Amino acid sequence: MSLTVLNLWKSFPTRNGDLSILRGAHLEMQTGDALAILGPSGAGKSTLLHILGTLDRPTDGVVRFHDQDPFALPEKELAHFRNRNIGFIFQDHYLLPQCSVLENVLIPSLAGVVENRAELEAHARALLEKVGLQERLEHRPAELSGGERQRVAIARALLFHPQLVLADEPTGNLDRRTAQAVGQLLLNLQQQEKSMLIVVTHSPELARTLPKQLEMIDGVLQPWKS
Amino acid sequence: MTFFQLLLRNLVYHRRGNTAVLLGAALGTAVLTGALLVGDSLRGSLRSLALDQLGWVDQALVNTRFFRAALADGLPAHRRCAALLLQGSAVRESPLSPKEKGEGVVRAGKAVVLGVDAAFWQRGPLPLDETFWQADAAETVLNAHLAGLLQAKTGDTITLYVQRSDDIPRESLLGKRNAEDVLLALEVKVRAVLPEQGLGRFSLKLNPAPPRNAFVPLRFLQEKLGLAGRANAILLGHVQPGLQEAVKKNLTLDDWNLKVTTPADRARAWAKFLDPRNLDQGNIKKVRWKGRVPPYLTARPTAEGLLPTEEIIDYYQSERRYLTLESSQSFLDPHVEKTGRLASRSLTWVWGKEGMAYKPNDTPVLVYLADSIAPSLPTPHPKGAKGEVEIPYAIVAGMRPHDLPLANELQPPLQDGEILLAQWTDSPFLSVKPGDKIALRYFYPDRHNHLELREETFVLRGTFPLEGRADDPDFTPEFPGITDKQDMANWENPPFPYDAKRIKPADESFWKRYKTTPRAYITLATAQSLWANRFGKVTALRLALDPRWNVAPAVEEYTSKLLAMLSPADGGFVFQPMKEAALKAGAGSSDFSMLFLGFSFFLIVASLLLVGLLFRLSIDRRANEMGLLLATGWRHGQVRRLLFGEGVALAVVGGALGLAGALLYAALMLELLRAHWPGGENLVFLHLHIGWLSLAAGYAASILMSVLTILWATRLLARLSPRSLLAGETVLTSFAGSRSTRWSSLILGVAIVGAACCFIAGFSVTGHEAQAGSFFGSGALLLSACLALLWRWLKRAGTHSSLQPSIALLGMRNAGRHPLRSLLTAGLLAAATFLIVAVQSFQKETGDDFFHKDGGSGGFPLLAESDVPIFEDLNLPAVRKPMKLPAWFEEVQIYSCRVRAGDDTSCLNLYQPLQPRVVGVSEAFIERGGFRFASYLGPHGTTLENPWTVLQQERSEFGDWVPALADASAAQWILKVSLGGFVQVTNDQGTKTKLKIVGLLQESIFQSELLIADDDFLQHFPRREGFSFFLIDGPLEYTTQIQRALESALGAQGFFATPTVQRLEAYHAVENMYLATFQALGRLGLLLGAVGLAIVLLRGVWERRGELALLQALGFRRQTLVWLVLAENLWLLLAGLAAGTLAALVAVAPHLAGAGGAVLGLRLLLLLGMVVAVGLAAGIAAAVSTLRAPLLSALRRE
Ligand SMILES: Nc1ncnc2c1ncn2[C@@H]1O[C@H](COP(=O)(O)OP(=O)(O)OP(=O)(O)O)[C@@H](O)[C@H]1O
Ligand SMILES: [Mg+2]
Repeated sequence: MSLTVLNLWKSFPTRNGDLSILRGAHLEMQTGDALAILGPSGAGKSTLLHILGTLDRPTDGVVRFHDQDPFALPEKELAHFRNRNIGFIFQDHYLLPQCSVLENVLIPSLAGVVENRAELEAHARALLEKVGLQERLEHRPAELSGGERQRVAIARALLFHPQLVLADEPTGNLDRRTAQAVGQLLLNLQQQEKSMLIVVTHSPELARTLPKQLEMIDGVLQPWKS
Repeated sequence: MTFFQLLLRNLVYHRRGNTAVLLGAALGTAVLTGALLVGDSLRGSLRSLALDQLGWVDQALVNTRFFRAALADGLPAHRRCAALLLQGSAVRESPLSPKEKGEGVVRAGKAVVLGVDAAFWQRGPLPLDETFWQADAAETVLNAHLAGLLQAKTGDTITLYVQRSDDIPRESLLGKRNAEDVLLALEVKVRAVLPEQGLGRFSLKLNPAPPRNAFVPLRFLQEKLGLAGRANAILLGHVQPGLQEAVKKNLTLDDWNLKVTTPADRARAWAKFLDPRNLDQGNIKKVRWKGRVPPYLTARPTAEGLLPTEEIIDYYQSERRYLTLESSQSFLDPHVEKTGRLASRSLTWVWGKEGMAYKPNDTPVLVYLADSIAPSLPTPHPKGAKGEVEIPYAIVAGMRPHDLPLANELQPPLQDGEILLAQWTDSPFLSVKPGDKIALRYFYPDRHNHLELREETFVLRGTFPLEGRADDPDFTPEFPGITDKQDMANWENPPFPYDAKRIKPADESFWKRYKTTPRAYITLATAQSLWANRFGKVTALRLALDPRWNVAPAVEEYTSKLLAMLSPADGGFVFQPMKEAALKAGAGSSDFSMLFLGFSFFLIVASLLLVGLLFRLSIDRRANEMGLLLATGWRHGQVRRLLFGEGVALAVVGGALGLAGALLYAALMLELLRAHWPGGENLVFLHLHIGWLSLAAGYAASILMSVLTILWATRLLARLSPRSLLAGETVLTSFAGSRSTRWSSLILGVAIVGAACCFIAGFSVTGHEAQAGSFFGSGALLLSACLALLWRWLKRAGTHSSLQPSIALLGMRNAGRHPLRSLLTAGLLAAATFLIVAVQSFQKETGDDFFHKDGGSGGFPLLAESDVPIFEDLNLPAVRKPMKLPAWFEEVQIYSCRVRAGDDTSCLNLYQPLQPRVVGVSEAFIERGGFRFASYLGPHGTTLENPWTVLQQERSEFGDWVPALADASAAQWILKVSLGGFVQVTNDQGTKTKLKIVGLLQESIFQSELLIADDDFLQHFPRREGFSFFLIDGPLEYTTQIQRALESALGAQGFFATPTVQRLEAYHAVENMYLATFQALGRLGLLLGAVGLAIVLLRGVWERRGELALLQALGFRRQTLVWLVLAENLWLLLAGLAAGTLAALVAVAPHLAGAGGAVLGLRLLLLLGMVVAVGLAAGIAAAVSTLRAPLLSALRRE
């Protein structure tokens, strides 16, 4: 599995004409790669991540997952693709308040037919054990701390062994120590799962824990000069 | 966890928002199902009332003539009852002041006097014992309603006034017309008062107004009316097949008021005339027969001078050998005459061994009483002047020339315009010669039953001796009081102008010997041209009998043939299926329930908008939840299915709740109707009836609508990217011409075109369904157009920026930020406003020009009805004199009209009128003109100076219809007929007469009846006699005095006058009451609008609390912020208001142009002001409550 991004453009229509955010970004990744993206606010990091996560469409350019263009897929298959290949972790964890921790992790499984639900549930429990929440399976998100919630979100992102894990400022709302722990957890899990990981962060500290760093400037990705 | 578990979890978790949606759905269901239930209840209540009123009666026969009560015997039904049903009035004299006339008298009109026997009460709870009903006590049992009106209680004495029975038509020459002869007063003691239920409510008339019944023993009423053993109604319960055949089999000539007399019958009658008390057992003393019998009989008496009846019979058998067919009504009904002749022709009497056949010859005879026969003098001369020769009060007979007694001696036969005079010893005409002019004077009743003296001049053909067939008094039918008197001097109270001084000895001697023998003959054709009337054109049919034939079998055969050939329907012997009709009429007249549903529609739309709005709000709140699901790989479809599933669950549960609400709502609406129905107590019968079909249909339809609304609310999700949703965005932001604007353009275009079509159609269509359709259609479409326009404007307001922001502009911009939400809110308000404005503009008031001659009253200050018909012309000084009216009464002109009683066609009658009431208006009334016409069919589309003349239009031979006028509202809403349409009524021949509506009166006092010309009335309803509907023209300022004077003078006839304005207001009161109910719907809609507005506002403020806190932090005063929030909502409020008002006014316009509704004005402005006030109040409350919270904490929370 590999990820190729070539000459990616994204512009938004505004009252004063189109505003180009991504202006020909390039990116190349292989299985097992992990990458941190830094950059000033408003540079377009989240925009890039959304496109990679197929949550939004590029204005121009190529995105390939292992020679496949996901945007060429019809809506139904695109959703399935996203379901099985992409794990998203947001700064706001977006846990469903009405569901328990375990249920939240299993949310992606409701999107399609699952052959072996019991196995999947066992996997979810295992994931929650890995993030250290085995005691809190039946708790509601409201009863968790910020770091714990983010760990649930991480478990949820990893449910289907996604090839690509995208994290948009996963530690943005956490204190330094927790942030560090969450970052480390993310990296460990990535290595265990052998997936690709992209973490967008403003924290150079977190960025440094990852093997590779890029910086988003003027809509293109450049090597990070710390 | 599964999809469904998640769904349930969501339902519970978002319970607050969901409850709101649920309540919205419940409300929609309640309104829709409630509206259906109101219809059900109205129909159901009317039906059960109708069935209750009929009691055990399934079928009824009510005839204008009195037949044998025994006709009911043996009819195939489990329950039978012959009865006398009479229209009348009841009076109770208060014992306090018996002297003062008019004072202390309680009158109740429209009373029904029912003469019944125990069979009527059978198996029901019998008021008083059986013997009471079988006896003839002068006692009555009143129903509670009548007793209440009379303030009478058991033991009181009251007077019932009914019409005397008389077989002779009152509108013919010999009819008795003055009040004493018409009215019969029955003084009775109240024995009991029946409660307002069961047979106490008995009525054959379908009307929600409770009947006023006075039950008396049948025998008592029969005796008082001189109708022993007779009845005019038969009531049947549980009828078995073969009824009509059984009726025909049971009918006798007596039931038809007919008799066939044989020579022997007449001989016996004559013997009885000579010796009424039969003192000598059939042998008549010389003193009695002397000078009275023909020469043949003078030679027959016994030695003692006794003339045996047998001798008279023998004489009749040989000299007056014929059968007669006569009616006690004096004239033979035209169809009876026709059938009588056909029957005689079908006879072939065979006799002897030779088998000789003989066909009897039928001879029609028309006799009339002339005022005088006299030689015509060249110059007018004073009547009764000295030397004038005249024969007063002479019988003249019209016969076909070859039927005349002396036909054989006349060659050529008698011509029309010629006359034959009798010659006898004392004749004053001994000197006349053939060729002389003979003047025949006679009285003939004109249209107002005013006897007119007419004169016809004949040429004398010759004279004839009074012998042989010419010597026969039996040409003349019996007329009690005249023909049974032995001397002219003893005539009793002749109903024609009679002067005893004119009778000279010669006349008396003629009477003595010849009695009613015709003194002159003219041809039948001439006689009929002079004297035929609607009651008939022949007074007898004679069948000459061959001497060789036995009389008895001939009579029998003729009678049975005649009975077999007479159609019971022609005589009104037809049973009406009352129960069936009741069920049919119970379907309701006015489409109140349809209208109610129509108006409810806007409320239903409003509640759906609320559902949509609430659901939308909950989706907005949960946008990121949706976004997350999408991000984890849910398909759009799945997310929508989840939301949709939640929506359906809410709709299903809400709907079920709504059904309970519907019951409550319907019950409340019925209570409202009951409480506001003009006249109050009439609608106590209105009860909630639950139609299971309505419940099911209402439930299904509401769920469907809610679900569609929810589907629509979730529709937008499909086009939002997960990223936008995650960002909390639920609105598609686009700047180029997006799909939604294109959609709105499409809706705008279609709606405007559609509304224009409906609008134009509103002016031209006349069918009431089409009219209502055009009204609701153009209203709904215009509303859509307005909202589409608003949508575009909101989109623009949301996207365009302006350089100089102001509070108002900021508000507008905010309204555009959630265009859908704003649109729904404005739509809610628009729907409510539409309802309120539309209903308000239909409100009716009596216009200022009502009293003009060209207004709704036609310039008549009063109209009146009488329970017992009046046969005299109330304008005649002679008639008015005994009424002791004040001098200024000369100015009062009364137009009398004939009435065929029937169902009220106005909105006062909730039943469907199956047999509309028909009023015949006189020529004078038509010539007078007046009133306002909404439209009429002039000949070839021309405009007429006096549109009333359309009633008199020439009709082609083939046009089998009668022109009629109706009130425009009655035609549209109750009769459901448009100009040029037809209404059928049963005529006196038992067939249907087609009334063609050739004109529609606008806002008139004639909403309860159809009007036709007098001529047509008499032709189709010949048996309805007298006048019972009156229009009274006089000085407006004397209205009350005229009313009092006439009511006290004619009280016994049950004459009740009503100011025309009162009658119109009664109609308006009903219409306005309906509108008040619709208005209540509008207010409910407004409440919904206010709730919606408040929710949207609260939600908006909540969403923007950070923004508002910031503004406050920047130094904005809280008051300014309240204004900012309000400004935004004021826009919505005004937009909704404008859309609703505009749509309503345009939709209403065509209908107001046609019907002249009250001018919209201050009241409408007030209403709109109220809407604004309610909206603003909701806004202020919401804004203040939110902004009172410490804003900085909200800021920190961001
Ligand atoms: N839907 C949109 N419409 C218009 N402009 C947008 C939209 N989404 C993002 N932008 C613009 O794109 C730019 C990049 O946004 P993005 O969220 O990618 O920045 P970012 O690099 O993640 O910043 P931050 O570090 O603050 O999260 C911003 O300037 C923003 O204004
Ligand atoms: Mg970002």
